[in-house]
Amino acid sequence: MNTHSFDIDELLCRVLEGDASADCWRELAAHAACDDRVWARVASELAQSRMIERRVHELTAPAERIEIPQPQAEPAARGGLLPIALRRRAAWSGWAVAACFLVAFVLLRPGSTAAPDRGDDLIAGETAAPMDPAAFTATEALRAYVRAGTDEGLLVGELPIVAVRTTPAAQGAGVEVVYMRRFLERTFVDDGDIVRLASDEHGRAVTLPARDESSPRRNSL
Amino acid sequence: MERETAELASRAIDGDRDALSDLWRAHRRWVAAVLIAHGSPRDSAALEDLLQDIAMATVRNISTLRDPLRWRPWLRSIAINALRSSLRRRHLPGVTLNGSAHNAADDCAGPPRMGQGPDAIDSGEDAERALQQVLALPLIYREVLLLKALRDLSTRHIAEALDLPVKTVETRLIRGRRLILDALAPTPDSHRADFKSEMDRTR
Repeated sequence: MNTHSFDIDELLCRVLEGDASADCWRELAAHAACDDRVWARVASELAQSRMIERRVHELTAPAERIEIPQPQAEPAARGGLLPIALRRRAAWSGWAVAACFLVAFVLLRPGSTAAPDRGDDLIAGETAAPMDPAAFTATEALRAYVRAGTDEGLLVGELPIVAVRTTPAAQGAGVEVVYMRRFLERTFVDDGDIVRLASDEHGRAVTLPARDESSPRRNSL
Repeated sequence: MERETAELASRAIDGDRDALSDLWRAHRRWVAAVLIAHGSPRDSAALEDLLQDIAMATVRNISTLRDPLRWRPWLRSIAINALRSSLRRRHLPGVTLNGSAHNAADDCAGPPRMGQGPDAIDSGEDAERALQQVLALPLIYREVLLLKALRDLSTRHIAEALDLPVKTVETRLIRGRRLILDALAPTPDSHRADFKSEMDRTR
């Protein structure tokens, strides 16, 4: 007749975790009195457990080298202090808008003085008051970008969101939605900085000042 | 400890970067264990890259953590999502909540060797083989066993991180160890379920 109040596995679990009380040990001894393989099992499981612990400690050691990025170590957006996630998003949206409008013949010359306050590829909002990246989540930073861009008149608006993909969420409830946000920006280019694409005598693409033409091209829709 | 964690989490949510750093240092190791349990590549460079991504995601998203007491499950979700994204980028097979850790760990030291017999441990089987036995288990067991092996978290904290009752974690620890034992020393007269059928049943 079994008079043990603890299952042997439960007892071993407590022993391995160092949580075994005096009662647990007494119970274990009682088990061992009935079955002489119990102590061998305790020894085996302890050895196995220690080996696993050692290996897991070795494998997780790289974690000790990873620190939370500090504000000064975060890459600031060029010419501004927007978080990199926002910059990527804004930069991407800028390209999307450029593609939509097919401004193929009007290019900003590298190093030109167009939009001198912003530089060639700066995004709307970057000339706003300096912001501490550490103080922003992506959502807050995006909101700040929209606000600053709108205030400066450089952000025209946002195009409708486009859903790209939906997949079941990692935790099994709900779905993960990957979507595209598109922002419409505008910039101002001096006449002197507008160039057109042409070909030289070897057929290579070159840019020529648009104002040399009799009727300079303007970027238009 | 619990109060300290909640306080740090609360300050971190409010934008205290030092508090977030302290919090991260206290928890980064078990995050690594979670990644390994979920099939992360195990070489240190890949693991460091992944942990770096998780650290960045933690900074970016900490303000979305509503309840400081939910810091551990929140961090675990961040880690698992980062791992999934990373595996997708690498074009490796993704892992599922009940999937094997080995389908993504292309740099693991070969498939686990099960059923080595009782001499395996007695003869001084190396730690890697012991770990392989754990990694061969279904996720629900290997995650708790790896977290427990780290000895950084109590059973209660593991339960909290996994969003499970403490009793469930205890049961998984017991059953996980039993499965390993059965795999190492299958005995015909054992009352325990056969390891393979248990694996099939729990997957």
